[in-house]
Amino acid sequence: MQMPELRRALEEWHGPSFGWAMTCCGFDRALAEDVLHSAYLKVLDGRARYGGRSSFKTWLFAVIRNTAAQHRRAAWFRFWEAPLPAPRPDDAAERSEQRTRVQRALANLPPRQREVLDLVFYQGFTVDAAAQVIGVSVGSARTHYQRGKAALLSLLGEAP
Amino acid sequence: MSDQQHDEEIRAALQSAHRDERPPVFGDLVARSLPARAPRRVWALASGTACAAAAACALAIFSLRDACPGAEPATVAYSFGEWQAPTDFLLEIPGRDLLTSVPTFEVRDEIPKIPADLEEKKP
Repeated sequence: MQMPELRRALEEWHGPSFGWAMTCCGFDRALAEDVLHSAYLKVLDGRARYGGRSSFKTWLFAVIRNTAAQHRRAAWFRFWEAPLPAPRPDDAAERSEQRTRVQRALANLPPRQREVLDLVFYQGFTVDAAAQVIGVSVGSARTHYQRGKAALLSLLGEAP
Repeated sequence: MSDQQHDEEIRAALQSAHRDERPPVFGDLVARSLPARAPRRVWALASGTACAAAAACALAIFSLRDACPGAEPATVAYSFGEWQAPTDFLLEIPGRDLLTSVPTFEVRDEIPKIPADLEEKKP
């Protein structure tokens, strides 16, 4: 794909990409913006190349997921040198109770279960495509899907 | 609840988790400069300092050991020939030489002749 075509494709999927980045970053908006920015630069610089083996959206979501993992690893090495930013006091107020409750439940799920559920139920992927995004076999993705559903329903049921 | 109702519940939950997500403007996000890479530099500096300190310590230990008067260089006998089993004393018995040596016999090429006096006594 040429640069203008790539740029257009990125812009087309920008909204869902941001939602996916939010999921990969535990709903931390600032981190999600950084991750998305880095992922776009990778695509536009040619460090991440689209080979056409899957749909553009599937490939882009895999790039965003890998970039988020790199950011998490970098943050792990960085934690000792700078204190983590304190949550803004208005954050909790901004979020509705329901949203906070669901986000907390999602945060308690294992990452792969959370990712598969988000891809299937929010982003509209099939389980097979979700397996491609997170880089696991279809069978493994189905297991994460089933277990994730059961775990999320249980967590939502337990939550006050 | 049926499986379909469970799916609907999860779908609604995820939509509520993503509610009011306003993505940043695409052009602004792409045009934004890269975040500072200072943390990586600090990490590289810290690991470099740690390596240098470890190398200095190793050098100091070796140089101090060599400078110590009367210190003998540590030698380790790796030869198996020099090694003695702790039970070797059990083999120290009288006549050990006879047990561990092989006797040799002189072999003559000629067949000795029978003395004449013995030859006569033959039937």
